[in-house]
Amino acid sequence: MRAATERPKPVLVPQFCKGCGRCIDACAHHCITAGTDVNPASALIPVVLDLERCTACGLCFDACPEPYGLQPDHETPDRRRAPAAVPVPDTVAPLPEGEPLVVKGMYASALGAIVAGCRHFFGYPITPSTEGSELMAKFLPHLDGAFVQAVSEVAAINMMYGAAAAGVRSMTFTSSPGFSLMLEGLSYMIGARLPGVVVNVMRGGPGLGNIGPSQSDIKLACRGLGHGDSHAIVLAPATPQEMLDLTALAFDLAFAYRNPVVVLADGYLGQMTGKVAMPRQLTRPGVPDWCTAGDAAHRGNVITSIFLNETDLEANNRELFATYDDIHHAEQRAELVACEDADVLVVACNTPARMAKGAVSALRAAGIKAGLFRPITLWPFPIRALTPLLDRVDRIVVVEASHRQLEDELRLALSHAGAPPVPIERVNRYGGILPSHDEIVDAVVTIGGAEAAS
Amino acid sequence: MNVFYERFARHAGGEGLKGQSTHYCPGCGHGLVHKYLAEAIDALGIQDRTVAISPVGCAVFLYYYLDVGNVQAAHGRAPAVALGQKLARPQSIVVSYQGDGDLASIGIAEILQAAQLGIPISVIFVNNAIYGMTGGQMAPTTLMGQKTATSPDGRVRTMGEPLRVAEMMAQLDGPVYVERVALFDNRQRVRAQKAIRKSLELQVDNRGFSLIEVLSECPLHLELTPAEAEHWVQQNMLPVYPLGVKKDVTETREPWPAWTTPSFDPEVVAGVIGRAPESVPRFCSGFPRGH
Repeated sequence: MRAATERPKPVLVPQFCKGCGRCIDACAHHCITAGTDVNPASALIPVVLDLERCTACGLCFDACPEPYGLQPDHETPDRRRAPAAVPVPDTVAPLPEGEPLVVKGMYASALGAIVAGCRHFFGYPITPSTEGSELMAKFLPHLDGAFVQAVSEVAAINMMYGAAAAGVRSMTFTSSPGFSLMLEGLSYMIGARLPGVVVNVMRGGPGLGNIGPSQSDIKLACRGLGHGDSHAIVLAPATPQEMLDLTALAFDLAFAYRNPVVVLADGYLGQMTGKVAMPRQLTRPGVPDWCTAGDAAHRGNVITSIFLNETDLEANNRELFATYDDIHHAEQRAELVACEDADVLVVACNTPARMAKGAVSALRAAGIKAGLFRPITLWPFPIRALTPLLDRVDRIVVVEASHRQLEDELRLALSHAGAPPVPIERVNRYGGILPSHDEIVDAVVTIGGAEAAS
Repeated sequence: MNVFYERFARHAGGEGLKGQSTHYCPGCGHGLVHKYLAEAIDALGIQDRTVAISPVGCAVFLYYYLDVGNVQAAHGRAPAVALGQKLARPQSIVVSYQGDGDLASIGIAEILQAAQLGIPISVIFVNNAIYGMTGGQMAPTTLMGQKTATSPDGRVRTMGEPLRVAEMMAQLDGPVYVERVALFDNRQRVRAQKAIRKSLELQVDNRGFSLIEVLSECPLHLELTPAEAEHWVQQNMLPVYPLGVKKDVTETREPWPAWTTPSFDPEVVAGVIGRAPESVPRFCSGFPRGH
């Protein structure tokens, strides 16, 4: 123990004392008493020190809850400012060439994540997405990555939140009921400006529904990512190859915009096996300057979605909306098949777009000028590619395995673009059933269109 | 003491008194816990490596004060966020700071999993037997008979029994160290300081998961003076929440394996991908055998 003479006695900065008096009992020598005078700066009544009997025992410091309340006299804190972080950019490295793989959609998506530099996976098993998690569980230990089967989807998305805060590429695979549980976490990620990739392999709902393919989470992904004005890019693959390509793209987009990205697939696409070409290169992720990497350069960073001051939150949200504007400007993606001279446009995404593609082909063979407009980004809806087609289009037929959710995205986009009114008809199937080739053909040839053929 | 920001710039812009004064009510225990955390971080020389996960509740603004990497989590989810941070950057020293509503109610699943995984993180659990930030409602840790905004005539059996978190955690196999401490007198405060420091040391040494439950005072919602609140904790909380080390297997448990860095080597990746994705077993090959 140091000699009493070496130890500092306390000093009090009165305006930082809230007068709680916890130090009064801590002092064995009764050096501290409750004050009587209101401090003009704090409007509180600080304690009063009389240090005549003080032995500099130091116990009062440990009883004061305020960092700058009671302090040791003459202590000059040794302070090192956090240096400004410099972003370490991503790099790419060529992958050895190989034969295309024949894999199911879930595996293709997992492969896409691996080549995009994702080494951290957090998930909870749910059919029909589980094979993706299984592959990550198999691969990641060999790549010194982390696979955690979380206690719930709620925990999984929050592990992603933590990994994203630390600046790494992380993801999860889930399906509709699990996606519902992740919405809270997605709202927090969006609020805190955190990137990450959620692959939702949609199944029949509402509730437990069934494990058949569905598209009934389009509304959630595009309009309902938890509370607040939250949006994220929504990518809709239609083939196993796109499961790989769009999952990989999702990571780049997530980090480019500091916002989560949702890859919205359907149950068939997750299970469908197809030929998949591997990319020619893989990504070695850098370290963003904004993250909490656990080192000196990143010590000054804070990741949070709370902005207590209203003007601060509004400013943060305006930044977010500016990002949304950038996304709308730069990231609209669509595939157009036989659209140039089309009189009837079929609008479809995911697996139903494959039926629609076949239907368009059959219709063309029968002399009907049909075209397929396939949004690849559902949010932002690729309206810029659509509006030039509307001058000659007589009708639009929306084909989807949900109750007008894709159609609502289309209608909103048309409305915002001030597009001329076009009759919109639909082929909708529900409950794990996809629209069929024949139903689409029938809907196109039947002017005035049927509701669903069901 | 250099682990507190020189000026609390995030506290209302750091203007005026708020630049060096906390948002806590007079006599609140959170300030003491913050201080002991700051001292331990300083003593261990881990300021640059430390990432503090702030909870929802009164301590949500931990990031106003501690000059470390800061991540703010959703209500109850701090342990999940802490695991994500730790797995992403294993060299970081991760402190998950939670109150009783946060950890013992909405976040009970997350803390159980984090504890059972046993990955080295430090959980500081502040138990003041009440929801502070939302205005003095009943917490899972509220004592029987205790009057709160949502148990106006006192907590009775139909509202559930107080949850003893430290004892529950000590029953689990995952944690290496669990201790309950308090703040109501000099002796308890010294023990609290030591426990918090030990929790961080265990993480620095890669020993495993530790949880320190701190019995704390909320004078405002107890409607007591700070001195009375200290007395209340001693008289009323201690019989339900006895202090002491609840679990310590630091001497007998193997340290956590050394952390490795993820591989982005194209040859390694190609080799892994070559492990024939279709060979992932889709069905179990038999019933699990007993031990």
